[in-house]
Amino acid sequence: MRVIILSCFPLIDKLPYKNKVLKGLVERKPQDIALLYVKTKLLDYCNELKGKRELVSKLIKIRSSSPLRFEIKLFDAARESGINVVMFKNFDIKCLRWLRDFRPDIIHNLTGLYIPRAVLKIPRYGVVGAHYADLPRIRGSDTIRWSILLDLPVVVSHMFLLPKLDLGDILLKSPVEVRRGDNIEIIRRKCQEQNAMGHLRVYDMIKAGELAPIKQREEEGSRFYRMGKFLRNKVDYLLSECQYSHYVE
Amino acid sequence: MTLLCQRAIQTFEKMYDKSIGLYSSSSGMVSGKYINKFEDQIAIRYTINSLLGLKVASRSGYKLGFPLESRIKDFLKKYKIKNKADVGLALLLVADIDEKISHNLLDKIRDDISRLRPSNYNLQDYAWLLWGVVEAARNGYKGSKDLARKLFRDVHDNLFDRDSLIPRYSLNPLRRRITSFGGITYFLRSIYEYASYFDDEYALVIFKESLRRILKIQGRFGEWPWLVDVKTGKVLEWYPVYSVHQDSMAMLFLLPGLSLGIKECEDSIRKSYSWILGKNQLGRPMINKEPFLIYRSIKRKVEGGKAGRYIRAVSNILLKCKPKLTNRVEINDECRSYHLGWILFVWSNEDKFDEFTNSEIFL
Repeated sequence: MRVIILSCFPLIDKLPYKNKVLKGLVERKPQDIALLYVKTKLLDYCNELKGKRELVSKLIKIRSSSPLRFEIKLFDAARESGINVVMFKNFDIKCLRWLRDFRPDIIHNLTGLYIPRAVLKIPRYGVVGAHYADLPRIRGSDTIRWSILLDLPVVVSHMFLLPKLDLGDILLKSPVEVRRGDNIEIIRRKCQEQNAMGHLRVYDMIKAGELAPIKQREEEGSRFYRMGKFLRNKVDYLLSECQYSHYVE
Repeated sequence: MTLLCQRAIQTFEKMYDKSIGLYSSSSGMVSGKYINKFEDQIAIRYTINSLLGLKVASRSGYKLGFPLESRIKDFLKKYKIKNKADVGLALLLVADIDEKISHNLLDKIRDDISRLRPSNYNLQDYAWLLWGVVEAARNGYKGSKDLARKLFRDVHDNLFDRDSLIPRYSLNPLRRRITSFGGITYFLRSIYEYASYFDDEYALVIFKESLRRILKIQGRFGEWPWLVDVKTGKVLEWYPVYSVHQDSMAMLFLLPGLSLGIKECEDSIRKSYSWILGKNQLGRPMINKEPFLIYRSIKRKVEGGKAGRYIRAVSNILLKCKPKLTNRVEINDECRSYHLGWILFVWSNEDKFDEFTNSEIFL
């Protein structure tokens, strides 16, 4: 198998789950593996952080207090493992040419970016991405919070990405264990863990020829949008008061 | 059959002018007789509203005493509907009656949307258009599903404040924070219709959560305020307190809310119509029994018109004041035909709340 791990913003790319995907794939010894970065310019970071005051303050907090600062950046880990790391500004012609030359069987998308159709067409099997909710029911943004608000189990769904957001064939659904006292950050981290494990399982299933993608119909689910302050506070309150029906005891 | 709806149907005929085919824009009483005014554009809007109420009443088994469908068709052939919101409401009225007129209305909506910017639409425009187009989709008009989805995205992306769950009335910078209760009712109803037809869980949760937010602004006598702060969801100005909001327009979202299991709606409905029956700040029923008339509002004695209301609202934002009910108020004793239209629309099919719909006051 020829595999690409797709990520973005290399300077702050420290999330532990991405390292797990990388490590897990290296252990599986594919024929060839590369780490591809997009959004590598300073301007991209500025654009990403524009209007996201909360995210900026969170990043500052993470840098100053969280154990995350001791994590190795994904590209350092990749280089240590002898994996080729390639960086492109975006999905431009150079990037597409490189991708075609690599002839990947599968691309594991670890970005939250929209992947253009030209990229989606390149790998033999497809581009695998994770979505932190039960597909097809809950599509869109802030899906962990919407699941909590609607009192639904939190699930991580893996799919082959399509140009239409969250409408790709479903490959895998993994439940996330939410425990009393978990806040939204903890649940998000648990989703990331499931995300990593799901990517590795999808790889294994493809290799074993066991993959059975399930098609989605557009009318089967609803698209959810970014949740506003009022409902975010409500979700935080529901979690702090343990008013959620799907706790794992 | 309820006394309220029967009274509304009887009164309607006294507000109708056969020669011009319109229901009045305003009706009052002089020496025990109705005096009707017919201001052109307003009378057209109110006629759509009135016919819509009469259609629902007729479908629920009320006898009107005239052929409704031909009255609707004659009206829509005689008058060209230009206003964007009115086009939506007219589509809601005619979607299951006349295919040709409905297609023309849908074409006009599509044409407007491709030509105009979102800033050309206010909340009422979007809400009535969405409601009408969803009705067209229910009746199987080609392309209406996609159009409804587009309208939902437009109203959601442009006017709905996700942080407060309150919709803006318009994109005009001077009105960004000031929204009206009327606009909110239409917004909620259209979102509900969209959610029900498309089985859209997101639209449904938005409807329910916004509704819960709105329930909190109801006053101690059950009154609904006129102006609301989009950012904080707090009341900016109580007056005028309109009867039509109390007995029918609030029901456009409260009755669906109740059917969806939001129990607080029941108490809110009772408080809302009790205001009409006399449990208001003046302790007076808002109904004249003979000839039958529901007074339009309780308003400030010195109001200063629309400008006065907005100045009061803006100063309440700037000074962070909480507006209160005042004693310097009076009853506005006119009645508008659309009020009776909404009464028929919401109550014709409703068999609960008998204490209101069959109250002695309507005998």
